[in-house]
Amino acid sequence: MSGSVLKAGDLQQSILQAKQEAKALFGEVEDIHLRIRDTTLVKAASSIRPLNAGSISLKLYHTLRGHQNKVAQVRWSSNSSQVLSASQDGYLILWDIVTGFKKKAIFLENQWVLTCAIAPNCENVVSGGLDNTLTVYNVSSKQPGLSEYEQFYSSVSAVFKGHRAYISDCDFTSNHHLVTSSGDMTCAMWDMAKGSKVRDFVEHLGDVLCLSKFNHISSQSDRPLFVSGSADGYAKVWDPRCQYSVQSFSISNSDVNCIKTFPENHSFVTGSDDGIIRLFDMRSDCELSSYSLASTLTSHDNQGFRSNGNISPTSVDRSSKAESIDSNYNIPGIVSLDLSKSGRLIYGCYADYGCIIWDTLKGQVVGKLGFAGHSNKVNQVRVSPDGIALCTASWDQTIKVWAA
Amino acid sequence: MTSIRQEEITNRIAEVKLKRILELNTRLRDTLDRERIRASDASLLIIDYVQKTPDYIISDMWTLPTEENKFHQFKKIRSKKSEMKASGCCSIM
Repeated sequence: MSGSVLKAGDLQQSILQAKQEAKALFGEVEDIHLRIRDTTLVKAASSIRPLNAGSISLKLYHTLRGHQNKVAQVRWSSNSSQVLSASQDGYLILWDIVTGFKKKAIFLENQWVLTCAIAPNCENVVSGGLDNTLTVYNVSSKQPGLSEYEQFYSSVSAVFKGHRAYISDCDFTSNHHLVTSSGDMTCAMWDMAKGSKVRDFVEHLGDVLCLSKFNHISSQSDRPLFVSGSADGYAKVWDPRCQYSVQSFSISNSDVNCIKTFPENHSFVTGSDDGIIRLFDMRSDCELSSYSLASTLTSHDNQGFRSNGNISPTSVDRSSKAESIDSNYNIPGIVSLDLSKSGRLIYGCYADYGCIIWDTLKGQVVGKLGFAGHSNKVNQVRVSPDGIALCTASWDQTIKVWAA
Repeated sequence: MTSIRQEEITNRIAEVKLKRILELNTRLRDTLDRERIRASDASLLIIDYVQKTPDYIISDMWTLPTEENKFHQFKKIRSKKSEMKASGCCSIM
């Protein structure tokens, strides 16, 4: 009896010690971060020429009509010739992007689809959503002599069950491997040859809302695989060979809604519910830049105030003013984002403003697609892999293709 | 009897707690050991990449030859076809 009491006391003592050590280590990590962050991307790029007005040549090329409900997600094929769209009318549609024709329509068993993806070889497509299931459809072969019904069921090439909550995002990492993020706070990797889950990625403390893979060529297999963003405000970088995430970034106090790896594969951008787009670098382990519509608007307004001959605000005034202006604008969250081929432009979709184009290096708004001719919210923007086109998808059931 | 059982359970919980914190500490040490480059160096690498990669959406830095633009090509073919239809001529072979 007395022995176990002593043991309990020892345990408490060691817990206390370990906690103190953790605190000290946290402090050290913080210090390193402060030392490393010696500049921002915008400051470092001060000698770069800003983009001229009208230098972004985007013209509406097509409006793809065919869905009967909100478009949930759109994805380009790796050769930039096709686009796959998932809609809440319960269909996946594969479009030929140059002609605008539908190449394939796949009727889904579960209409509450949130995400879709195309395999690099264009032979399979996948959908996932509120049924917690990932379904892979074969779109390359057509077996002769089957009715439409049989054709559909023969096209299902894999059904992956295992997530305990909705699937928020997914992508192919190779022709036979998939990664998913889910509301059950995990990400998972699936193998089509094995027909099962290969592993879980567990560490987030909230719903995982988005993921983005790194675009390595296969010779660079000693690199992380993908990065995930979560409702816990963190982004985590994952490598299948490591039990835990290889890097973890604190993004904001709000949901990280969308994430995209930078084309050079060493950094990524995030969009969150607080309306701020941030650029993080993995080599220096810190934030390099942030893009906030709120601060752009406030700075415009402050200039306006000054030119009106108002007393120049003291620091106290300024902070109170900023607050009130913030509340006036009530900046909406970012629902989708993507980068241009070089990474110079960030396309961000804001809940109430539509699509806005940022200059990554100068930190300025350089263009606006706005609602881009859509009659409802724009909830997706995707740039083609070859970089000469992009598409916007909307709740108004259409997809618009924009080309250089 | 029940109090001994209870004590065992609290001990067990404390052990798990300790294990968790020790794990966290190892991971924090790993984070400390990670190699990092300065934000300024990372910025320069990004700027270099951005400036060197052709990006045809930015028309005052890069221009895509029209013959390589599949969208232009398709439009051209389509307008040619419609022209032929509009002119109403057909050739009988």
